[in-house]
Amino acid sequence: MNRFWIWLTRFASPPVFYRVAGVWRPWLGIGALLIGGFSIYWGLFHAPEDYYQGDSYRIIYLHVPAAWMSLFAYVVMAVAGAAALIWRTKLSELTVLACAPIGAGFTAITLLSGMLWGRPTWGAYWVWDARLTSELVLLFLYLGVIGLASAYGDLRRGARAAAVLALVGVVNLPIIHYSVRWWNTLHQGETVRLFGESSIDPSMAWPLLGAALAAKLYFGWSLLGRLRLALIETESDKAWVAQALDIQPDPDQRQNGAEQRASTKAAPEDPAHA
Amino acid sequence: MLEWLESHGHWGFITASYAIAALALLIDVIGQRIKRNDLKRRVLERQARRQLQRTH
Amino acid sequence: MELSLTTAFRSALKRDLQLAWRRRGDLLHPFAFALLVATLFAIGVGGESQLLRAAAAPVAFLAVLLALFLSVDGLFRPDRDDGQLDHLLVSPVPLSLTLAARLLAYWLVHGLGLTLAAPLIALLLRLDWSLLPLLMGALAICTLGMSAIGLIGAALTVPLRRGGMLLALIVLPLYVPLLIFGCGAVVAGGEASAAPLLLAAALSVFLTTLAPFAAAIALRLGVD
Repeated sequence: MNRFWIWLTRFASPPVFYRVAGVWRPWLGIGALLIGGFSIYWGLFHAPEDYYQGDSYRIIYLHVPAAWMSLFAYVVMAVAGAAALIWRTKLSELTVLACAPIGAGFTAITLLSGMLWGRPTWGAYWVWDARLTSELVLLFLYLGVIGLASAYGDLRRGARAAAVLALVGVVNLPIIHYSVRWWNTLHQGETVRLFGESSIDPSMAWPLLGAALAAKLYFGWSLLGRLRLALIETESDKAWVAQALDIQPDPDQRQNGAEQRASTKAAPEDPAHA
Repeated sequence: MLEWLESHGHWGFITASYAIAALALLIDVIGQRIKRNDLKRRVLERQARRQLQRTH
Repeated sequence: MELSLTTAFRSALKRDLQLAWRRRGDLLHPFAFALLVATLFAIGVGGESQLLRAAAAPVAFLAVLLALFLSVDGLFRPDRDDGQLDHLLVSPVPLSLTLAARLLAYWLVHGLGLTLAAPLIALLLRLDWSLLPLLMGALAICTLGMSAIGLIGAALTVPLRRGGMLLALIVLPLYVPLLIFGCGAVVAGGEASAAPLLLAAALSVFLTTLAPFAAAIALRLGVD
């Protein structure tokens, strides 16, 4: 256990994480591109047509992975938030900030693709379906987290406030989901689902699983990229950043870095001015 | 605009939703690239200013 | 002097209630706001329409919900402005205990206070009079949970200079389950309203136990 903690703290140190993330990222990107491209191509042009929904069901290869990821990103954000509040490590705080826009993007794609699927299937772009309604509330939760984090001037304090909100949100998420489902059955009968409990043909299922895997890989790719950029931004006065950006480091950068360690923002002023 | 979208049948909706996703992907990729270049420029600027102070 | 937790809780509660009593004129504002929302809705859909009758219970519920939300910002802002908040943070009394007292006082004053506005709103919206006890019961239960959510939201936004719109974005989505169960109970009526009412009560109790701790963490973030 002890050794694991040592490994973890070393891994979470900015220069090490920046380097390791840089090694993993291309693989995640290539994997997402290959698996996603192949699955979606297969789903769009080779999988059989759905008996009830016709071709329009092919939107599931986008909609369902995006919906899964919108929840997954929120959970990752909440876990990172718990870590940020308990251990106060910079990396977990930055993870909270980085997850929110990716998750909000997945949620927006889920909503838009759901609307575009709803028009040919239900005859309307928006139907107060239980899943779509929960996704809409989820989008508002994401917007709240993003808004709160950016309202604080200080990056790390904003991240910790966002972490509290993310944790409160993740506790409420299942409650919201089940209450909306209850509300839905109260007001209207069952509707055709984009991806219901009914069994689906294997020739339709495996491209879906492939697309879901690709979405996970893409999430990792985007998250690592955002974390690397955030590390550069918050540590821009350290010597390792210059190296990471292929810039000749300043000879006196080291002592300036030590002076500025207290400030976490990318301070635009030179320390010599202060 | 909605009429135009609806005149293409199911494949119109499919294309539209995948196009939106592709656009979101592109914004993410290009946004990260722009941010990286911006950060690099800022670090270089700061170095240049420091250099200037040392020579004075 | 040894301070027992019960004494501390009681004195914090007493202080908050006394403060509310001294500013009792302010309590008319959310009351009037709830009536205004109902009035505007009735004018919007037309006083004689079937729609007004059908929507009476949900609109009454929403009017109270929005009025309650408006007073959430006042949970910590006056304390922050006169420095009382810093005292709370350094006091030997556990912060979550003080916050629990504040939550209880807030619910007693604003939640139950606005519930008393329900008969007037029901009258304006021509709600079926036999539904009134149910509406008031549902409001009394749901305002407790809403106050708890408001406590967390207010604690998170108190260090910010302008928290208004952001507070709405944080707090209102979390109101959704309470709104569903509360409105659902009133709309269902009779026997069928027991289940949603119990669910709303369970949720309110859960949120009330969670909120003081979450709000305490949030308030401490604002300091360091």
